[in-house]
Amino acid sequence: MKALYILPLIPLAAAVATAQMPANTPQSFDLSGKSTQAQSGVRNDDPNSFGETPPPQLLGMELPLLDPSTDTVSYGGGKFDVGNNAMVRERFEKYLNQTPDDTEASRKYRRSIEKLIDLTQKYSKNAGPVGSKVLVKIGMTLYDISDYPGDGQQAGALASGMVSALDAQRANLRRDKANQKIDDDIEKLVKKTNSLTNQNTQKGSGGGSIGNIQGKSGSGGGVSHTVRIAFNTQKIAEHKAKQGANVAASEASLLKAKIQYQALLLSMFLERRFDHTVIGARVYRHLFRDGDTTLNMEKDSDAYKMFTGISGMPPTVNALDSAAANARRDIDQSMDAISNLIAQNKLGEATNRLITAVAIGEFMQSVAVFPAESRRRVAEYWNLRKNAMVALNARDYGEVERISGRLKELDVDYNDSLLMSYTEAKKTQSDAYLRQAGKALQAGKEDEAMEAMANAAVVWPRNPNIREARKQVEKVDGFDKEKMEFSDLLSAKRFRDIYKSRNRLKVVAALDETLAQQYEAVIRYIETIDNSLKQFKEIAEEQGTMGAGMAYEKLVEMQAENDSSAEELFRGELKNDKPFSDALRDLRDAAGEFTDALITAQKHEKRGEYGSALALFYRALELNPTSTMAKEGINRVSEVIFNAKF
Amino acid sequence: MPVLYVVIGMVVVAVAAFAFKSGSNSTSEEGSNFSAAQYMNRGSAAVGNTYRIPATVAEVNSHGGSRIIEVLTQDDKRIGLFVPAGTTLKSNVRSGMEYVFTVQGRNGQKEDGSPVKGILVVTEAEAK
Repeated sequence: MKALYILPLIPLAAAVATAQMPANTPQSFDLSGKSTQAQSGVRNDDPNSFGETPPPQLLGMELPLLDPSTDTVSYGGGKFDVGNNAMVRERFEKYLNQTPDDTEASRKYRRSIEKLIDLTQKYSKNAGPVGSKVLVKIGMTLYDISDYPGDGQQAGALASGMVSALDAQRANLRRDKANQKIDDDIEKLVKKTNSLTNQNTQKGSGGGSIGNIQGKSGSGGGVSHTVRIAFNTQKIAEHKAKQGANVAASEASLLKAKIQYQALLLSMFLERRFDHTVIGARVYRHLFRDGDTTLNMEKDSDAYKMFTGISGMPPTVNALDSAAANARRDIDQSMDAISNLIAQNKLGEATNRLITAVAIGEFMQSVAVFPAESRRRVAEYWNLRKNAMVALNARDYGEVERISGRLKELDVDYNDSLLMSYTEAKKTQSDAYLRQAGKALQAGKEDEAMEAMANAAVVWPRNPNIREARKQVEKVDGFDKEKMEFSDLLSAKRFRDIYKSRNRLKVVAALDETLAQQYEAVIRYIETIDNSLKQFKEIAEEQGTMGAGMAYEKLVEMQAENDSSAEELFRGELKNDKPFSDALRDLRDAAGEFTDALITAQKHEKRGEYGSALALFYRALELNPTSTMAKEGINRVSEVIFNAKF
Repeated sequence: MPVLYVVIGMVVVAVAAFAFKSGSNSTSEEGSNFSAAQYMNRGSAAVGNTYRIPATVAEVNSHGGSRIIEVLTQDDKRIGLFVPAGTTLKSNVRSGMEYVFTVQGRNGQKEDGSPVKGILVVTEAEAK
């Protein structure tokens, strides 16, 4: 029913209206709504209204407007989201945490309400109005139940409204009786006046002049009644005026009483007191017996158009009754459906429906007695949903997943695909940043690593892998000493010292790519030297002087290669390596005459003594037939001699 | 009496000359004036001298008509003897054979002018 469009906005109207609307009905009874623009705060000529028409009014009260397409309500110049409104949520949570209202007092209260509804329903079928005794009984019952705290004094207000309406009726009755008496008086005066007029007429035909007050007539000798007649005529006019005033007063009083009562019904409707609205609407025609149940508003007013547009009915008290009755029925059915949904473990749908049911039917019996266990289950689901939003906003995706799992247990229809896809994407993104940080750290780019880690934390602050990454960074920070030591030794070309401390210094390889390469190169360099020395030492030991000679030659070759090495770091440094230089010396000594011959031959060659050099190279080769250096020396010197001029 | 003094003087001079000549030129067949060890120590000391060195040929290295003969002297030293291109020797020099080499100590020169010192240049080789 279209009227139901107005219902979701009622809790908002109730919550907002209690803060914004005056407690009493407005002073103005201009039902067109136009004169109450000032009260609503919205004017047509308001430059901030952007040409929007002012909100509709009903009996001076602004009506909230719901836009079903966006689920927003416009009221008091603002827009409120029905489904995501703090006031609605607060009331709903309060409801969930309350004990079901099932005390003896509440049950007595609700029985009384039901009796009143049944009674008014019964009398609404009467052809004619009920007697005052029935109305008094209804009023007394309303006064009795108004003490119940859950009633909020609404029953008392309704009873007072009825009393006011009856008072007005009684006053009108008194005025009617007064008018009746005035009629009788007028009648008497008219008769008297007519009689006097007749008398005057009869005497006047005997020669006396009518109205001759002097009365000096010699003819008949009778008194003239002219004065009396004039007096009576004036009196009649006064009585008529009084009658007219009484009629006007009665009309005004009736209208005022109707407006006040209608305003009371409407306010109860807006405050979701549907029981009271139904009762009040059904006794309306017994209070105002003229048969007119139209809600007093001008036909062309926005309020009239809005009401007929929403409800599809002319604005009457009966329409209010119908809307309130429908609301009661709908809420009871909703609560039934909610119970079934909970039994089927469909907490999601049940929660959504319960929010609406509580928002609309907070004061209905079916809502008030909703079992505690069902409330607890809905509360759990509701809180989980809230916490999921909080966790999502806080980017705590691990918690979101945990909550989502629990929601799935509570609601068989719960579909977490969208949520899980979103959280997975965010977790993946965070981990990707951490991988980037790791690579940057390996490359020694600490600033880049920190930036990537920060990005990872922004995306997913509670990513457990961030802690591990942080440890890595701290580790790197803790190895500054080793890094400095390695750099110092490298600068001084103390490769052997680096090698001796290699186990301790190997951490630098994890800090920086360049350092890692340098570290590996130094280790490789030293190990090559040591392996060669070991190998040549074994040859020397196995093959005696000749072996020593061969080993010596190899070391000399190594040194020559090192002197022209492509690796700038190590070029020319081999001779400074103590184990190498010691080995060279030892092998030279072990090789004895061979190395002497070779060395001396080389010296002669340098001095130009090619004859001597040749002879000594011959000797070296004789001592070590495998000597490459001797053979090369012989060839070299021979070529010089062949090409010389003698 | 003056003539006698002249004759004695001539004999003294001849003896001295002979002695001087034998100190600088080793011409004995046995090569006793040539010391391979001294040569290996300082070859340029032999420059200007002629020696007759008996030795066994170990290896012959030829290059463009010239030869370097590696010989083993009688004191078991190996030295190199240079035979310039165009030199005609009485004997055909072959490895493993014994010869008496007549050599002269000479200095040579590279293309850049730097010296090539103490080379024993063969002028004759006689088979033993």
